[in-house]
Amino acid sequence: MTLIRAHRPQIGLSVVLAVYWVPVLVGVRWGVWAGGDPVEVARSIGMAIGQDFLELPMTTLALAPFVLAASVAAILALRQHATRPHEGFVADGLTLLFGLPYLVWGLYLALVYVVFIAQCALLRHGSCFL
Amino acid sequence: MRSALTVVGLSFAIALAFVVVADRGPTGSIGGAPFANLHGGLPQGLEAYRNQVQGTRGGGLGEGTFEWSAETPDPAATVLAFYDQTIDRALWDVIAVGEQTMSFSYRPNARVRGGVRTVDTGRSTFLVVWVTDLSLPSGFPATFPGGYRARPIGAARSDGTGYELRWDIDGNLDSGRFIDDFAHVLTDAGWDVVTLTTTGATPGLTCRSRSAPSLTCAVTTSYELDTTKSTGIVYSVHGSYVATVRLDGLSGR
Repeated sequence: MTLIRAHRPQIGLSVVLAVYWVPVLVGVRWGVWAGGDPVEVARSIGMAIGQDFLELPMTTLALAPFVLAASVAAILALRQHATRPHEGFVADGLTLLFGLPYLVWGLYLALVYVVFIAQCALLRHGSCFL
Repeated sequence: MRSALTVVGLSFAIALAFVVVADRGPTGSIGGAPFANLHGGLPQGLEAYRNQVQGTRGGGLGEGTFEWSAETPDPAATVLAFYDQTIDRALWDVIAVGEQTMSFSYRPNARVRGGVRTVDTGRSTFLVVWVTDLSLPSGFPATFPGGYRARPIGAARSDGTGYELRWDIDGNLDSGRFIDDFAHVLTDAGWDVVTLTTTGATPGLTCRSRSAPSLTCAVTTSYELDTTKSTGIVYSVHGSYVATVRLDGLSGR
């Protein structure tokens, strides 16, 4: 527990960065499936990033609570005025830099989803499908 | 530096675990040539038709199957002449070029058949270049073409006089459409279609080779239920259109 607490900034940053690795790894999987030569893998990574990036919070929904927790912990740590190691300060800053856009975008997508469902329920008598 | 590497490694490991557990992306492999490493293009030795109507290009790639389609203002004869001239004959063995279709096989792997299918609407022509691994056995007559959107089911059976193949033809609208199309393919490839039934529950045809009349074929179709995939209440069973292709008269050749 002490070890985790000591490395909390690095673990938080790792969780946040993990969501950005997902389209890359999905692209690698497609590239290997489609033949596996370096050109095919690179092309598949490019396509996976292009197609999945805007839906990243949806495709990595299971990781979203961890990103939220890491971001909240980073905010709380950055608000403290106690002297902290430089590394932890940088890690928390990067956690917010990558975590907040992901969370804000996920919130926007969730809002669009809720509005869509509400509109369908009210105006179309529940006849819409996603 | 060490800390940065730890973060990169740990984030990669978390993402890898997520991708595997959540089953993101495909597993397995598309297979070998001519389907692998296309880089978004066509299999080696085949070209995209140049005079396309803008925005009509499409296609698909699956395990052992490839399809590329487009619309062109050119007539079907021009399309087929283009492929007759441009196909790399070192890789592809052209079985026949007819009025509506062209058929070929892949020289390095005789299991693979392909073709160009055209539909002339009068104002434009829809064309499809397709290649499928039909899992044809060695010794299978090279002159017998493959069917569009036909996928092999199991291994081909052979006896003293011929072969029996089973194809999943569910990618076609219905079995009648498949039989009608395949009759054109056979005619273009040098086979006489002796009988043809495109309506009813079990469309089918019989054919005879023009160059070797002892070679005959019988194609029958049926809708087969798959009881292993029974789910739900309304659609309690699933099924697919299946073609059984019987080739006879090989012993007399």
